[in-house]
Amino acid sequence: MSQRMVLSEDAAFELLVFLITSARGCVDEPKLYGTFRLVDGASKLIGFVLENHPQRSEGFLRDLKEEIDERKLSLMTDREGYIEFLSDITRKVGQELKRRG
Amino acid sequence: MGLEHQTKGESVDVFEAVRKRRSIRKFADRPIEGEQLTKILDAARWAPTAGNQQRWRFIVVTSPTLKEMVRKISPGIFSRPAAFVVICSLREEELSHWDESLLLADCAIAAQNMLLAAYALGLGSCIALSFSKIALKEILDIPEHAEPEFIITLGYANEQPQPPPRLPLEEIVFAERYGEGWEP
Repeated sequence: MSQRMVLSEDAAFELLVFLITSARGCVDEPKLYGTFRLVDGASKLIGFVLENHPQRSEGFLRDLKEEIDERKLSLMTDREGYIEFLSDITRKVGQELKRRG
Repeated sequence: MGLEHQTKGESVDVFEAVRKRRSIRKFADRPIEGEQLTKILDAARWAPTAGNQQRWRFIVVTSPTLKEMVRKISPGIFSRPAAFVVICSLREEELSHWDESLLLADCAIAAQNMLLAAYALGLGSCIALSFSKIALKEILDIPEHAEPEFIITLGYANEQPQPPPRLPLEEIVFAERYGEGWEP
Protein backbone atom coordinates (compact mmCIF):
# COMPACT_ATOMS: atom_id res chain seq x y z
CA MET A 1 0.00 0.00 0.00
CA SER A 2 2.83 2.41 0.81
CA GLN A 3 4.94 1.61 -2.25
CA ARG A 4 6.73 4.57 -3.74
CA MET A 5 4.91 5.93 -6.80
CA VAL A 6 6.85 8.36 -8.93
CA LEU A 7 6.09 11.00 -11.51
CA SER A 8 8.47 11.86 -14.32
CA GLU A 9 9.81 15.40 -14.21
CA ASP A 10 7.85 16.22 -17.38
CA ALA A 11 4.62 14.96 -15.85
CA ALA A 12 5.25 16.77 -12.58
CA PHE A 13 5.96 19.98 -14.48
CA GLU A 14 2.82 19.61 -16.60
CA LEU A 15 0.79 19.17 -13.42
CA LEU A 16 2.48 22.17 -11.86
CA VAL A 17 1.65 24.32 -14.91
CA PHE A 18 -1.95 23.10 -14.75
CA LEU A 19 -2.25 23.95 -11.05
CA ILE A 20 -0.75 27.40 -11.35
CA THR A 21 -2.65 28.46 -14.48
CA SER A 22 -5.81 27.06 -12.88
CA ALA A 23 -5.16 29.07 -9.73
CA ARG A 24 -5.02 32.29 -11.74
CA GLY A 25 -8.05 31.26 -13.76
CA CYS A 26 -10.07 30.69 -10.60
CA VAL A 27 -9.86 34.40 -9.82
CA ASP A 28 -12.13 35.20 -12.78
CA GLU A 29 -13.95 31.98 -13.62
CA PRO A 30 -17.25 30.78 -12.16
CA LYS A 31 -16.95 29.27 -8.70
CA LEU A 32 -17.79 25.73 -9.79
CA TYR A 33 -14.95 25.76 -12.31
CA GLY A 34 -12.55 25.72 -9.35
CA THR A 35 -14.01 22.41 -8.24
CA PHE A 36 -13.67 21.16 -11.79
CA ARG A 37 -9.98 22.05 -11.90
CA LEU A 38 -9.41 20.17 -8.66
CA VAL A 39 -10.99 16.94 -9.84
CA ASP A 40 -9.46 17.30 -13.30
CA GLY A 41 -6.07 17.77 -11.61
CA ALA A 42 -6.74 14.64 -9.55
CA SER A 43 -7.44 12.73 -12.76
CA LYS A 44 -4.23 14.02 -14.33
CA LEU A 45 -2.25 13.02 -11.24
CA ILE A 46 -3.65 9.49 -11.33
CA GLY A 47 -2.99 9.30 -15.07
CA PHE A 48 0.64 10.30 -14.68
CA VAL A 49 1.18 7.91 -11.80
CA LEU A 50 -0.36 4.97 -13.66
CA GLU A 51 1.66 5.84 -16.78
CA ASN A 52 4.79 5.04 -14.79
CA HIS A 53 3.33 1.97 -13.16
CA PRO A 54 1.45 0.17 -15.92
CA GLN A 55 2.06 -3.13 -14.17
CA ARG A 56 0.14 -2.03 -11.11
CA SER A 57 -3.41 -3.18 -10.95
CA GLU A 58 -4.44 -0.39 -8.64
CA GLY A 59 -8.16 -0.77 -9.09
CA PHE A 60 -9.25 2.11 -6.93
CA LEU A 61 -7.15 4.79 -8.63
CA ARG A 62 -7.91 3.49 -12.10
CA ASP A 63 -11.64 3.36 -11.40
CA LEU A 64 -11.57 6.81 -9.82
CA LYS A 65 -9.87 8.30 -12.86
CA GLU A 66 -12.34 6.62 -15.18
CA GLU A 67 -15.26 7.95 -13.19
CA ILE A 68 -13.85 11.49 -13.11
CA ASP A 69 -13.18 11.51 -16.84
CA GLU A 70 -16.59 10.09 -17.62
CA ARG A 71 -18.63 12.41 -15.42
CA LYS A 72 -16.64 15.64 -15.05
CA LEU A 73 -18.10 17.33 -18.12
CA SER A 74 -21.60 17.09 -16.68
CA LEU A 75 -20.63 20.48 -15.23
CA MET A 76 -21.47 21.94 -18.63
CA THR A 77 -24.98 20.56 -18.90
CA ASP A 78 -26.20 19.21 -15.58
CA ARG A 79 -25.21 21.20 -12.51
CA GLU A 80 -27.10 18.97 -10.07
CA GLY A 81 -25.64 15.83 -11.63
CA TYR A 82 -22.18 17.35 -11.44
CA ILE A 83 -22.51 18.11 -7.72
CA GLU A 84 -23.81 14.59 -7.18
CA PHE A 85 -20.73 13.30 -9.00
CA LEU A 86 -18.51 15.30 -6.64
CA SER A 87 -20.38 13.83 -3.67
CA ASP A 88 -20.06 10.33 -5.09
CA ILE A 89 -16.30 10.46 -5.56
CA THR A 90 -15.83 12.13 -2.18
CA ARG A 91 -17.77 9.27 -0.60
CA LYS A 92 -15.60 6.77 -2.46
CA VAL A 93 -12.31 8.32 -1.36
CA GLY A 94 -13.66 8.38 2.21
CA GLN A 95 -14.47 4.68 1.98
CA GLU A 96 -11.06 3.94 0.48
CA LEU A 97 -9.32 5.95 3.20
CA LYS A 98 -11.16 3.92 5.79
CA ARG A 99 -10.32 0.65 4.03
CA ARG A 100 -6.64 1.54 3.92
CA GLY A 101 -6.78 2.32 7.64
CA MET B 1 -15.58 9.98 -36.78
CA GLY B 2 -16.24 12.61 -39.47
CA LEU B 3 -19.52 14.40 -39.77
CA GLU B 4 -22.09 12.83 -42.07
CA HIS B 5 -22.50 15.67 -44.53
CA GLN B 6 -18.75 15.96 -44.93
CA THR B 7 -18.26 12.32 -45.81
CA LYS B 8 -20.96 12.73 -48.46
CA GLY B 9 -19.33 15.90 -49.79
CA GLU B 10 -22.53 17.90 -49.40
CA SER B 11 -22.79 21.60 -48.65
CA VAL B 12 -24.45 22.60 -45.41
CA ASP B 13 -27.48 24.77 -44.86
CA VAL B 14 -26.76 27.55 -42.39
CA PHE B 15 -29.69 26.57 -40.16
CA GLU B 16 -28.39 23.01 -40.03
CA ALA B 17 -24.94 24.25 -39.07
CA VAL B 18 -26.40 26.44 -36.33
CA ARG B 19 -28.47 23.61 -34.88
CA LYS B 20 -26.12 20.68 -35.29
CA ARG B 21 -22.80 22.21 -34.37
CA ARG B 22 -21.62 20.85 -31.05
CA SER B 23 -18.70 21.79 -28.84
CA ILE B 24 -16.16 19.07 -29.49
CA ARG B 25 -13.72 18.30 -26.71
CA LYS B 26 -12.25 15.03 -27.97
CA PHE B 27 -10.32 15.06 -31.22
CA ALA B 28 -8.92 12.36 -33.47
CA ASP B 29 -5.17 12.28 -34.04
CA ARG B 30 -5.51 13.51 -37.59
CA PRO B 31 -4.23 16.73 -39.16
CA ILE B 32 -6.42 19.20 -41.00
CA GLU B 33 -5.50 20.74 -44.31
CA GLY B 34 -4.22 24.23 -44.91
CA GLU B 35 -7.09 24.87 -47.28
CA GLN B 36 -9.60 24.08 -44.53
CA LEU B 37 -7.84 26.46 -42.17
CA THR B 38 -7.85 29.17 -44.82
CA LYS B 39 -11.61 28.80 -45.31
CA ILE B 40 -12.24 28.96 -41.59
CA LEU B 41 -10.06 32.06 -41.19
CA ASP B 42 -11.72 33.69 -44.17
CA ALA B 43 -15.09 33.10 -42.51
CA ALA B 44 -13.72 34.98 -39.49
CA ARG B 45 -12.46 37.78 -41.71
CA TRP B 46 -15.96 38.32 -43.10
CA ALA B 47 -17.56 38.63 -39.69
CA PRO B 48 -19.09 42.03 -38.98
CA THR B 49 -17.16 44.38 -36.72
CA ALA B 50 -18.13 47.65 -35.07
CA GLY B 51 -17.46 50.47 -37.52
CA ASN B 52 -15.70 47.93 -39.74
CA GLN B 53 -12.64 48.44 -37.56
CA GLN B 54 -11.50 44.80 -37.77
CA ARG B 55 -9.58 45.07 -34.53
CA TRP B 56 -8.87 41.38 -34.28
CA ARG B 57 -5.88 39.28 -35.16
CA PHE B 58 -5.72 35.50 -35.42
CA ILE B 59 -2.79 33.28 -34.50
CA VAL B 60 -2.88 29.82 -36.05
CA VAL B 61 -0.98 27.25 -34.00
CA THR B 62 -0.24 23.91 -35.64
CA SER B 63 3.35 23.24 -34.55
CA PRO B 64 3.28 20.18 -32.25
CA THR B 65 5.64 21.82 -29.76
CA LEU B 66 3.65 25.02 -29.47
CA LYS B 67 0.33 23.14 -29.41
CA GLU B 68 1.52 21.14 -26.41
CA MET B 69 2.52 24.33 -24.63
CA VAL B 70 -0.84 25.95 -25.38
CA ARG B 71 -2.69 22.85 -24.17
CA LYS B 72 -0.72 22.74 -20.95
CA ILE B 73 -1.52 26.34 -19.99
CA SER B 74 -5.20 25.88 -20.90
CA PRO B 75 -7.04 24.08 -18.11
CA GLY B 76 -10.24 24.22 -20.19
CA ILE B 77 -8.82 22.25 -23.10
CA PHE B 78 -9.00 18.51 -22.55
CA SER B 79 -7.79 17.00 -25.77
CA ARG B 80 -5.21 17.49 -28.49
CA PRO B 81 -6.80 19.26 -31.46
CA ALA B 82 -5.15 19.51 -34.87
CA ALA B 83 -4.95 23.28 -34.60
CA PHE B 84 -5.59 26.18 -32.30
CA VAL B 85 -6.64 29.61 -33.47
CA VAL B 86 -6.07 32.31 -30.90
CA ILE B 87 -8.33 35.30 -31.43
CA CYS B 88 -6.72 38.50 -30.17
CA SER B 89 -8.30 41.91 -29.82
CA LEU B 90 -6.20 44.97 -30.59
CA ARG B 91 -6.01 47.48 -27.78
CA GLU B 92 -3.68 50.16 -28.98
CA GLU B 93 -5.16 52.86 -26.81
CA GLU B 94 -6.99 53.16 -23.51
CA LEU B 95 -10.41 51.61 -24.00
CA SER B 96 -13.71 52.81 -22.65
CA HIS B 97 -16.21 50.29 -21.27
CA TRP B 98 -18.09 50.76 -24.56
CA ASP B 99 -15.02 49.88 -26.58
CA GLU B 100 -14.33 46.85 -24.40
CA SER B 101 -17.81 45.53 -25.12
CA LEU B 102 -17.48 46.14 -28.84
CA LEU B 103 -14.12 44.42 -29.04
CA LEU B 104 -15.35 41.37 -27.21
CA ALA B 105 -18.48 41.22 -29.36
CA ASP B 106 -16.40 41.48 -32.54
CA CYS B 107 -14.15 38.63 -31.44
CA ALA B 108 -17.14 36.51 -30.42
CA ILE B 109 -18.86 37.01 -33.77
CA ALA B 110 -15.68 36.04 -35.61
CA ALA B 111 -15.44 32.99 -33.36
CA GLN B 112 -18.97 31.89 -34.21
CA ASN B 113 -18.27 32.25 -37.93
CA MET B 114 -15.26 29.99 -37.45
CA LEU B 115 -17.25 27.37 -35.54
CA LEU B 116 -19.92 27.27 -38.24
CA ALA B 117 -17.35 27.16 -41.03
CA ALA B 118 -15.58 24.30 -39.27
CA TYR B 119 -18.85 22.40 -39.02
CA ALA B 120 -19.51 22.97 -42.73
CA LEU B 121 -16.10 21.49 -43.48
CA GLY B 122 -16.78 18.43 -41.36
CA LEU B 123 -14.52 19.52 -38.53
CA GLY B 124 -15.15 19.68 -34.84
CA SER B 125 -14.41 22.80 -32.86
CA CYS B 126 -14.81 24.40 -29.49
CA ILE B 127 -14.40 27.89 -28.15
CA ALA B 128 -12.22 28.00 -25.05
CA LEU B 129 -11.87 30.78 -22.52
CA SER B 130 -10.20 28.82 -19.75
CA PHE B 131 -6.59 29.44 -20.60
CA SER B 132 -3.90 31.55 -19.04
CA LYS B 133 -3.68 34.80 -20.99
CA ILE B 134 -0.51 35.70 -19.17
CA ALA B 135 1.27 32.46 -20.07
CA LEU B 136 -0.13 32.44 -23.61
CA LYS B 137 1.27 35.91 -24.28
CA GLU B 138 4.70 34.65 -23.24
CA ILE B 139 4.55 31.47 -25.29
CA LEU B 140 3.26 33.05 -28.53
CA ASP B 141 5.09 36.38 -28.24
CA ILE B 142 1.83 38.31 -28.22
CA PRO B 143 2.59 42.03 -27.90
CA GLU B 144 1.29 44.20 -25.11
CA HIS B 145 -1.35 45.88 -27.29
CA ALA B 146 -2.98 42.57 -28.30
CA GLU B 147 -5.15 40.61 -25.87
CA PRO B 148 -5.97 36.95 -26.42
CA GLU B 149 -9.73 36.66 -25.96
CA PHE B 150 -10.59 33.15 -27.13
CA ILE B 151 -8.89 30.01 -28.32
CA ILE B 152 -10.69 28.01 -30.99
CA THR B 153 -9.80 24.33 -31.09
CA LEU B 154 -10.12 22.61 -34.45
CA GLY B 155 -9.83 19.03 -35.61
CA TYR B 156 -11.69 15.90 -36.55
CA ALA B 157 -14.18 14.98 -33.86
CA ASN B 158 -13.66 11.87 -31.82
CA GLU B 159 -17.02 12.09 -30.09
CA GLN B 160 -20.62 12.86 -30.97
CA PRO B 161 -22.03 14.80 -28.05
CA GLN B 162 -25.77 15.00 -27.60
CA PRO B 163 -27.25 18.48 -27.86
CA PRO B 164 -27.52 20.17 -24.48
CA PRO B 165 -30.97 21.35 -23.42
CA ARG B 166 -32.13 24.71 -24.73
CA LEU B 167 -34.79 26.91 -23.21
CA PRO B 168 -37.95 27.05 -25.33
CA LEU B 169 -38.53 30.16 -27.44
CA GLU B 170 -41.63 31.00 -25.37
CA GLU B 171 -39.39 31.43 -22.35
CA ILE B 172 -36.75 33.64 -23.90
CA VAL B 173 -38.62 35.67 -26.51
CA PHE B 174 -41.02 38.47 -25.68
CA ALA B 175 -43.40 40.31 -27.95
CA GLU B 176 -43.02 44.09 -28.12
CA ARG B 177 -42.31 44.53 -24.40
CA TYR B 178 -40.19 42.60 -21.92
CA GLY B 179 -42.17 39.84 -20.28
CA GLU B 180 -45.06 39.81 -22.76
CA GLY B 181 -45.81 36.44 -24.27
CA TRP B 182 -44.61 35.80 -27.80
CA GLU B 183 -46.08 33.51 -30.40
CA PRO B 184 -44.73 32.87 -33.86
